[in-house]
Amino acid sequence: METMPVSLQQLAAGISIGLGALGAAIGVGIIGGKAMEALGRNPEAKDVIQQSIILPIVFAEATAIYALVISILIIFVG
Amino acid sequence: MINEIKKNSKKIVFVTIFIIAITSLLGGAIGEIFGLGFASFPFPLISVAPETLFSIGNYNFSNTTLTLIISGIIVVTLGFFATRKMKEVPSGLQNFFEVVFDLFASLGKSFGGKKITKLIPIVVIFFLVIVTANYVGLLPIAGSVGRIESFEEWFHHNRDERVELVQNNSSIIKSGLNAKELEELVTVRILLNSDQRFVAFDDSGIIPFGRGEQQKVSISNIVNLDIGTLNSIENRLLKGEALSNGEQDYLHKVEEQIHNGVVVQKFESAQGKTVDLEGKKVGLLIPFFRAATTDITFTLSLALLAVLIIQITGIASLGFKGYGAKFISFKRGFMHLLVGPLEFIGELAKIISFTFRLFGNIFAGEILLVSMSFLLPFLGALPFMALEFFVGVLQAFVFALLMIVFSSLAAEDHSKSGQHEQNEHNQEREKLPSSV
Repeated sequence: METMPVSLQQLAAGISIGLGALGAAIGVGIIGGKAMEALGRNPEAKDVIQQSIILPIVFAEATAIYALVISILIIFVG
Repeated sequence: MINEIKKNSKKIVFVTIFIIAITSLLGGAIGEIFGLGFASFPFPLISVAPETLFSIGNYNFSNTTLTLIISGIIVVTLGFFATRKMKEVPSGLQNFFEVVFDLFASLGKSFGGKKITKLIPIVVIFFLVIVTANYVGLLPIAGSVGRIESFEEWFHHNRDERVELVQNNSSIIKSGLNAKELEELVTVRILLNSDQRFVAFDDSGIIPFGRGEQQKVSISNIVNLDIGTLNSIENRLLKGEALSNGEQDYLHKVEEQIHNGVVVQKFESAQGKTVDLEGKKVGLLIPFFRAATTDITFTLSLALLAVLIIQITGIASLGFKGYGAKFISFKRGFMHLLVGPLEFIGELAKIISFTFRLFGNIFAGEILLVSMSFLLPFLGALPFMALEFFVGVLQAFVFALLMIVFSSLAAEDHSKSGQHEQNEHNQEREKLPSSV
């Protein structure tokens, strides 16, 4: 769009990915922390924990990726 | 003697890495500030929509379609050769495919049980296609080898797009302009407002000049912009008046300069140095190959297929009425009437999440690779290539895993299962005394 000033576009893109990444980082940190705790309580469950932690982490990252897509769309497609 | 060779070879490796690191540091974008950017390259064109290579009528054949065809051929060829002379104890290619199949079969069994076994081959196909599509985008030729779109082509393409946009949506420009005047108005608007920068190529028109950012030519250096004339042309066209002779001459000159598409004057780079590129052709690089999953169309089609398969699994297990009862049912209590539409919205959200998770990861990886190799030419992209390999496999695995999980959720039966098992359990207990 030629009507939106470029500075507002860039600000919007920055805020979008900034807040999205903040949420994702906190989420992944909590998941990792709980996994470490569980590992410490029961070191024999290492394989199970490693297998099952991938899915929650990917879900937590996915929302950050949505925010990234929005910010890319804001910058490159108006 | 062998120990000496080993120590020497270690030294040689370290020295080589050191030399490459220094070269890349001095040659890239960081070295440009000190005037030494000999290995830098111009920032390639990043666009969310895939670039078209050629168009047949109304259909634009894009570079992601080409890559998708190649990855499809790779998957089918590998699968063909893996199933020739199959042995009881697998080895080689057959082993690889059996590992993948076994992984998803065990996952399917642990999540869904018997209802999902028919789904496993489809899930494996999704996984293999997505992994291949992600990896073909990491090959060395992807993203850097391509054709050069000249300035004239870019301009005409942009102008036609905007003219069509205005013609379809008449609220943008509210006066009645005929076709030629509309073209002129859009030309003037593009010249005034566009901040697209271009790359100058050498005389053969194949290799761009180095020195990266310094060479990015803006439109004012290709076409002599006279802001006053352009503004007055725009005002006259919007009011519906005819253009004066001087303005028409100016427009003719502008058209000629667009047709030539060469740099017409020296300009100052952002570092304050004068750049002399007069007479060089400008253009944009359109790569021939681009990872297929960076195309929203492809990921959207995959997502739609996946959700369709999930619905079909649910309907096949529960029957049409049984599956529809998850969304609308008057026999399951009041809360279910409210929750049903939310479930339906959840299905739509699945489509969007499938699409954008895959697209966002791979596209962001591409941008990351491009910007890292722009900053540090040879070494900068290495750790991120490793990340990209990991992410490619992981996202494909997550796509397939989510298909399995959602299908097993769709196929499970909330209403009757608890009671059914309880009845069976009671019948078993009642039978025992008579048999004894």
